[in-house]
Amino acid sequence: MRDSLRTLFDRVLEDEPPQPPHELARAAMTSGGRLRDRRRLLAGGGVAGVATALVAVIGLSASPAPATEPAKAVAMAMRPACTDAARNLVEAAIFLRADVTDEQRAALDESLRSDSRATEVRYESGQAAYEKFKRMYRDAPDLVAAVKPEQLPDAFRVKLDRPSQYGRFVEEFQGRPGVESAAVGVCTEEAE
Amino acid sequence: MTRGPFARWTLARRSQRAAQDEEFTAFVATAAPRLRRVAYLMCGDWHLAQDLTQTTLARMYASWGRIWRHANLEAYSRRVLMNAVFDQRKRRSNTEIVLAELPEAAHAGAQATTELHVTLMTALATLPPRDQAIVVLRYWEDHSVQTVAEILDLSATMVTTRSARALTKLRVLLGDEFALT
Repeated sequence: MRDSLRTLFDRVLEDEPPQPPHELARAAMTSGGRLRDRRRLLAGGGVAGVATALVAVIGLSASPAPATEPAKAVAMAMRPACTDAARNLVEAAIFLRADVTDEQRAALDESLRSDSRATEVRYESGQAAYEKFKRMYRDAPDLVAAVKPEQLPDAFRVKLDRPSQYGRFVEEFQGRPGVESAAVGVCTEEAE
Repeated sequence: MTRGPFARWTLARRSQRAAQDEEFTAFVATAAPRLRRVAYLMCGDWHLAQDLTQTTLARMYASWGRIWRHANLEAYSRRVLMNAVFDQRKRRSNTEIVLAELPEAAHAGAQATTELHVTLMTALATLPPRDQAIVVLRYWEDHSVQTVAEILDLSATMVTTRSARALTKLRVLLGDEFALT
């Protein structure tokens, strides 16, 4: 059946009309480019757009002791462009202060894990975030060189039961002890 | 800031974009004909197959900067294509009734090419879209169970059982004379 099925398929394909030459790649680049730009807008700036903005920030604030602001911008921006597979992924990120104490960290962990809205709680150290950042921006060596691992904050990454809960959830955690900031990220999971 | 990090980065970015576009054009030249045939086997309409191929390539170009060094672009392109096919099916099923019955003359024997054509494509169309994808990827494209599983986001076991079930159904619909061709 296997071989005969292939033969059948081949026969079905015999009346294939000629492929319009050349234009395929160009047309795909035009509409694909538009798609990419639209996605960037939707994601609040995709990889390249964000990298441009961040390099500009870092370039302007270039000083012997680099400010921590750009690194925070990087941490907030670490949302790869959405792929089809990741289209519906949303998560909240709770960034911790550099001087967060172990007690505060434990308390946050405890209340996140006991929160009935949270379906998944993941702790991401600044070091792990830095590794991810290096992978994501490997096309932009200047940007990678400008950010030090210790500038990226530790964070909790949380998935919620229903998308509509994110706004409220983030607000609640905004002012908690040890929390630097909280944000909602779309398509935070790396593709593939 | 003529030679600041931003200026240097912009330059590097621009030349990289050109290199990526070149890669993309080469990829389209080698991959498009086969993609279009796979698309045709999924939908039975060359115009639609052309559109689906175009959609697939556009979507791939949109994330090209991230995927162009992907180890298996071919499998990746099948994944994007199949998603485009499934999306199109979903949209279509809202507006039109899909022909789910085989024509009466399916077993008439001594079919001309066009009849074989109609019969096989109609039989394929009676399978659920994912089973149809499994059959095309496994038996025409000759991908391994593992690759098909990755393309369609299914487990290997599920690919095996579903392809066996799909083949049985096709065998019944097509009749023995087809299986022996």
